[in-house]
Amino acid sequence: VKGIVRFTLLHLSRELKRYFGVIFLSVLLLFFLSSILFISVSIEKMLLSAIDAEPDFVVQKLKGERVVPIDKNIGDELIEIAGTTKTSPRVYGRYFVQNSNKSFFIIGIDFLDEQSHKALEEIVKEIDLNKFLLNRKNILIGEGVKKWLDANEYHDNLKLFTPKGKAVNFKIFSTLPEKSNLISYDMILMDIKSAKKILGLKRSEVTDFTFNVPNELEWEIIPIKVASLDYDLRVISKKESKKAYEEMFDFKNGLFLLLFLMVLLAFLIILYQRYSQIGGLERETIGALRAIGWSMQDVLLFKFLEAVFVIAISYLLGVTLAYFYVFYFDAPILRQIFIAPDNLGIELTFIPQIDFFILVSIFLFYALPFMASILIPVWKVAVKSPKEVLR
Amino acid sequence: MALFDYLRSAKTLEKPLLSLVHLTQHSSLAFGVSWYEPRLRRYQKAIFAPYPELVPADRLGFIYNFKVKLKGIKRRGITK
Repeated sequence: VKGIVRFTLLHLSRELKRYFGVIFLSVLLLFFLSSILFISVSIEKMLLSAIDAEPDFVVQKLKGERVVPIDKNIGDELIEIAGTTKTSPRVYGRYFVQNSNKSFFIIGIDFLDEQSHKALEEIVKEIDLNKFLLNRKNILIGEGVKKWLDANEYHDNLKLFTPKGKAVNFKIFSTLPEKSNLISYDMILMDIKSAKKILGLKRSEVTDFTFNVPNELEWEIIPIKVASLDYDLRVISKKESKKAYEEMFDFKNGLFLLLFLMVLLAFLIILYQRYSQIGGLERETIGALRAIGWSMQDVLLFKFLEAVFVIAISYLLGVTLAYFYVFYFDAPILRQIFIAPDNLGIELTFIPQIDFFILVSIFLFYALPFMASILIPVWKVAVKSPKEVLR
Repeated sequence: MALFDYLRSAKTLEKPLLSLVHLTQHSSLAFGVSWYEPRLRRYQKAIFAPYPELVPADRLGFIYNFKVKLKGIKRRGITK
């Protein structure tokens, strides 16, 4: 075996130029596949960890299929159900700017609440909280909103309209950090009362309610109890939203994987053709090796090692290049597959994630068919007697 | 080295994102894809693009508004 390994290395060092084309194409294929999977895994993991930090359940009121404002008092009824904790109202909605066809995501927050206070301090470190809380009309905006406002010459103040057409002036206090762009890019955070005004909610109304159920065994029964409080309530669990996101990413990945498989198949057919019509040098090498006493297994091992070399180099190069392309340069063109610039667009920093399962599946998707498309034709030649091959 | 630096920084990158979720209790994406935002579809886009000030004929709301305004003027006139 040692002799065969040494011979393979010598052979490769002499004939390296011949493999250049195959390695180049393989690196290109692996680069695209790995980049897409890295982008998708990174976004998916960020998103799933964000969902984990969300409350366990959301209660909404429906009319038709529409979510309508819910009465604040339902919070008291929710907390009375044994097993529920941390019920809290949410006030949010989209503010649509019709002239430019863009929309912002407005969220109302009770900044005087102690927990919100702490969270806010963690998010925007350089902010002077006392100064921010002095004026109820101070708002925090996401990076995308900031860019859009700058482009439209709104630098310090922003005028928003209530559904009745009354203008409310807000002061842009600070921008939310770039690292939270995945969620905050189109976000405007403002005081809960102002948000209610802009979104057209009454004082006693909120958009929906959230609550936690610490005991996971009760996750099945408590939503039923909550839904039975009224006829028009819908309870959405964190698990459901997680599943929906996972399905969406699987769909996009699957679509790309399908395209990739088609390209890979075309590449392998070319490779198979090349090796089955082995003329000249390749055929002579196999014939000569067989003639000097190499067994069929030895020839196959030699070709196997040759293929392993090509696979290893292409795999390492392709995956490493993809890693730097996605996590260093934030995947300039390919990220558009996942992020369409429809509303305000988005500028993301991908958080590096290395998923062992993804690395193994990339390897298997590429290595196994590649190996087969080389070894099968070689085996067909090696089976024949050396005389026949050399003739 | 760069790889290890990046892996180490992954957690610090995630922190502001998670704090924001704690604050807002929202984890919905800001991708801005319209099918992602069903609420966007509910806004009426009936304004005729070349003449944005034209009101479409199927909506007569402006007439009623006009009547209400007239009534208001009359009432004010009477009270005064």
